[in-house]
Order: sequence, then structure tokens, then C-alpha cells
Amino acid sequence: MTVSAEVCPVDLADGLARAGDDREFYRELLDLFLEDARQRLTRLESALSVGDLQEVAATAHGIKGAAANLAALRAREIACAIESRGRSGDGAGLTALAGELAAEIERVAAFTRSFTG
Amino acid sequence: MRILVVEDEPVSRRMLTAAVARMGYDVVAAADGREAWDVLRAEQIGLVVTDWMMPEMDGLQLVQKIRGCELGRYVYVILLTSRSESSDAAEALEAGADDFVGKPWHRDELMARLTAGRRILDLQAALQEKNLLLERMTRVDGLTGIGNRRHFDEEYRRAFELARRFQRFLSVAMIDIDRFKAYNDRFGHEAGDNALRAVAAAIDETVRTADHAFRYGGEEFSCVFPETDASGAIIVADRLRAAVERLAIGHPENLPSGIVTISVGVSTLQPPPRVGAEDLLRAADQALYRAKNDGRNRTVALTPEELFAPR
Repeated sequence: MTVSAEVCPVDLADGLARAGDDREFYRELLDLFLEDARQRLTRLESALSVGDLQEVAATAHGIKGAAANLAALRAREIACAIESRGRSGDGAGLTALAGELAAEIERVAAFTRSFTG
Repeated sequence: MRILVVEDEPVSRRMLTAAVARMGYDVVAAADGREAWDVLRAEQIGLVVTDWMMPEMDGLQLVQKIRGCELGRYVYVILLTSRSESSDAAEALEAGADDFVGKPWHRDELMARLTAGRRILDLQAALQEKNLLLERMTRVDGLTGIGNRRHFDEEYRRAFELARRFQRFLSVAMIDIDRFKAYNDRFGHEAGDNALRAVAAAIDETVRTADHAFRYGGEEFSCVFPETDASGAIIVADRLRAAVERLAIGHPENLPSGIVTISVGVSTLQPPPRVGAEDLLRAADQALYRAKNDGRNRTVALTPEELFAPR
């Protein structure tokens, strides 16, 4: 793994293992994830703007699962926090968390661009 | 074995599908419970791996739907649960899931769970096959291989009910091998059994496709002829007699022919029906009795009305 000032957004060894150590397949999954996560993020943000916390939780749940499968640990963590807050009806800090999640997903996107299958 | 993967989130769906395919299974994917249900009804799916939280119909509802409906086969269901919530597992099993795998799932664990599922399904299939065989054995006469008395009772009752409801003709024949006791006494039980087998086969081969022949007991046989009036039944009965004569099994005690012959009693239900199933059968029995008294190796037909209709 390349040494970087920031921690890599995915645990590459774990992620690759999950993809059966098939780099090409892992790359395909990352692309799938980004496409889906961006759509969900849009849904999440609009749900947040109308205060539909159940929908916020549901969309975060989807991102959480996908992120876990790719070993995108930080993204999974943030999505998990959003989901549990959404579920318990605790709206505080959700906007900030959604921003964090969006930023983290873009970091995964940057990583994906640098990652060759 | 064909496996259905149900998962709304595309990355997981793709990963699951790829993993299961790589394990050598035939995979179909669905994005939610409703889509999964459509696939289950259309295809021969043995095992389902389903996510829990999904839009439309979730995994739990899908399991309940699978268990609540007769798909004609057992479907093994593995629910994907969140590891963090331990009560999930109990709820999944209670809803009817066979097993659960925590998310994120691991390839080796999933593979082991699928293998376990397949083992159960194989056992289930073997058991079902044995049950079918046993079920068939309870309806087949061990000696002759044709339907037994129990099978006759079911078939006759069903045929009678249909004839009564739809106002159709129904004929029934009672058949008895002439002087069979004397044959047994002279040639022994083994020869007697062989004769029974040969006669049963001759009757079974001679009746028409829609008709059914049964061993009623001892040296007695019975036939059900749906949609057949009295003259039709007599024609078939005489054909049965001729078929047994053609076997030409020597029977010196059975004169004048000196071969194994049968007597047949026939009775016909004529629409509109005025007698019950028991009376029709008793009339056929009476007809058989008369065929014996009239000299054997012949067919006698009696209408049930002349015997049993209220006067």
C-alpha cells in the first residue's frame, strides 16, 4: 500500500480478500459502490431536508452494508452512526455527519481512481 | 442446485452472487422480497439467501411468505443478519428461516452454511422420495404388482363420485378365477401364485387406458370402467375372459375347458343415479355369483336398480 499522509479509506488487504483476491472484481465493486452510494447520498440529503429520519436511516443502512463489504471502514462507521441516530429520531448533528459521509465517499472515489484492477 | 440471492444493495448483491457462483452453484439475483417471490414462483429454487432490511418486502416477510404458501417443495432459507443485534437471530429462526449468517458475511462461513443447507435439502429430497415409494407401496399388491384393495376403494369411490356428480355412466366388474382352490390344491401355492400373477397381468394389459384393474383379494380382481355403459362393460369383460383363456394355463379340474378361466360380474351406474356406491358393487358381486352358478367362464351383467332400488 502506498504511504500516505491520510489513512487509506479502505482496508485494502481485507477488501481484496472479500473480493476473493481478485483485483479486477474489487475494482468493479468499488465502482458499483460509488454509483450506488452517491445516489443514496442524494436521497439521504433530501430526506434530511424534510426531516424524514426513517428514510435517512434506511439509506444510511444501504451505504453501511456496501461499505462494510468493501472494507471501507470509515464510510461504514459514519453511515452506521447516521443510521442509528436516524432510527432513534435524534436529528442532532446529522447534517454534519452527512457531510462527513459525502467527503469520505469522495475519498473512496479518489482511491478508486488510483487503484488499478 | 439453484440459489436465489435477495439483496437490495447492489454491491452486496454483486458480491454474494459472484461468491455463490464461484462455489459452483447456479445463481439468480433479486433486488427485493417482491421480486424474489416472483422468481420463487417461476423457478425451481432450492435455497434462498436473503438480506433482512429491504424496501417493499423485507427478508422476514419473505420468509413468512415462503413458509405460509405451498410451493410444492421445501425451500431452505438463510437470512443475513446484523452481527450487532443478537435478538435478530432468534427472530429470524422464529419466522421460519433455517439458518442465518451475520453481516458482513465471510466467504468460508457462507460456503459452509450453503453446504449445510444443501445437505438438509438432499436429505429432504431422499425422504420425500422414500415417502412417495412407501405411499405407492401401500397401494400396490405385492404379489401381482397391480393396484390393491385399498387402491381400488379409493379409485372406485372417486370414479363413483365423478359419475354421480356429472351424470355419467360408470361400470364396475368383479372377477374371480374359476375353481382356483382346486388349482392350488393340485399344483401347490407357488404355481397358484404364478397363475395369479399371469391372470393379473393379462387383465391389466387388456383393460383400456382409462380403466383400472385391481387385486380385490385372494383370487378376486376388480375393474373400474369410467364412462362405460352396460354393453361396453360386457365387451371389455369378455375381452378379459378371452385374454385369460389365451394364457392357456392347464387346469384339469376346471372342466370343460381344462384351462384357467375367469367369471365376471358386471354392474353399471346409469344416469340419473338411483343407487349408492355400495349397492353398485353389491350388484356386480351378485352378477359374479350368477356367472359362477350359470357354469363359470362367462360374463353376467346386472343392473343395480333391479336388485336394490327402493320398490
